[in-house]
Amino acid sequence: MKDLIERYVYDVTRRLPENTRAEVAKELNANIGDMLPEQPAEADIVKVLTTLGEPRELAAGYRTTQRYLISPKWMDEYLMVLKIVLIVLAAISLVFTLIETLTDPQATTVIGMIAEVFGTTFSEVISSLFHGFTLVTLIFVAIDHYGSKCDKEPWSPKSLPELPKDNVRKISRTESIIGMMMATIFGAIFAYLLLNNQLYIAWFDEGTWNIGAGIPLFNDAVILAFLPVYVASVVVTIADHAVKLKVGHWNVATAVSHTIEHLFSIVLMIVFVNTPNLLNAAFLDHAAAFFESPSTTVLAEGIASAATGIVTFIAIFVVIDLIVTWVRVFRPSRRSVK
Amino acid sequence: MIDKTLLENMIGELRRGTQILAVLSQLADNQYGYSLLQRLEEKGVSIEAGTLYPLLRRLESQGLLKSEWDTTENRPRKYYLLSDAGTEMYDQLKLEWNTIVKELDHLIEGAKTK
Repeated sequence: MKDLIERYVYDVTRRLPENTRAEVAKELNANIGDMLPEQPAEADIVKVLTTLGEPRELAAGYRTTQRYLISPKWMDEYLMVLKIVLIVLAAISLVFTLIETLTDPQATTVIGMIAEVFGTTFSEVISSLFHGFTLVTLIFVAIDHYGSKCDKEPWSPKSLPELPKDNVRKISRTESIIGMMMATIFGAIFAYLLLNNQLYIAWFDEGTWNIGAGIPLFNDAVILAFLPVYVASVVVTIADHAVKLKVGHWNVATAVSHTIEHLFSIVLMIVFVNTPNLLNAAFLDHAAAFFESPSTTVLAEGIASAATGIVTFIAIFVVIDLIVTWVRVFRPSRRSVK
Repeated sequence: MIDKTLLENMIGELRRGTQILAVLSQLADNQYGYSLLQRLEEKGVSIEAGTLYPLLRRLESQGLLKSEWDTTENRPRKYYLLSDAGTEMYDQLKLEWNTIVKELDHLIEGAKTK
């Protein structure tokens, strides 16, 4: 019965600085005693302790200084920086671990490799997020703590930031970031597949799915020659998104970057589909036999013209997109963007 | 219909600022925690025990209250009393309080007649 009071007092004082504990405990005991009737029953004690409230809150009342890691004054900046840092770190660690595990897998089976890639990537991303969180938080705690101590010049209206320019079309940050991540991830995966010439086309063969009968789709030599250019195009795409992320709206710089990126990609695509001997001869033979095509050449020509058709289609879209982009840059909308 | 919790929050906030004045006003003579609580309650001002006890300690550490342990009775009690600085602080706060009352009365009355 008495036990409850002791436990309560202990639970309050253990949260306080050591040099005040004894005094607060003595005072609290006296106060609780005053609030209790003579010969208190357990119900009386429970009632009094309930009135006094949660030990956590009571202890907070006894403390003379407010305690927090980051004050509300810095919360906005903290959250903003935290968001950016976490997104960037996640993207970077995702890409690098993917490249690392994909290029040098330890596992020998396909299932093992998939498990390895996912497992390693997941744990790397999580641990880099924790690092980022800790670092940003510590920096802000330091800023908050020391920033308020060494008082700087008083705030003046002159230090206000400039208004963003009207009449600009914003480029969504999320879109740029996602674009950057997509380009990196898929670029890395595709480059890896090309490097190992592991692009197969699956088809149905004699009642079972046959992964290209183990015959690669493309010609080894052609692919290897092509690979550096492809990697360059991925880099250009990432750089383009980086420029857009930094500038944040459409202007000449972003439009130029956008144009270079689009032209690079489409030219690359056109060159790629028109490369002679692109398709693996063994693959063509096999496919010709399967589709009962009159000859390998006919099939190759068919595939080539289909590919050219698709690329032409994409090229038209790219051109339209570029025209629209440049028109927008030089004739900004009247409506101001908030 | 106004939000009940919001109303309670606002009343709480309004009253919080007056707590110190209320406590200082009753400490011209010796009081221990619980007697002060009862005294305030008798006069219609209720401060929660969990708020009052820490507040007394804080005011003491700010030098506004003096304290003394009375160990003559069977249960020791800590008595609080206004210090000189506390008395002066109380006088100043009282003046400020009167100003606030006048200002707000003026505002509220003025709003009525419009």
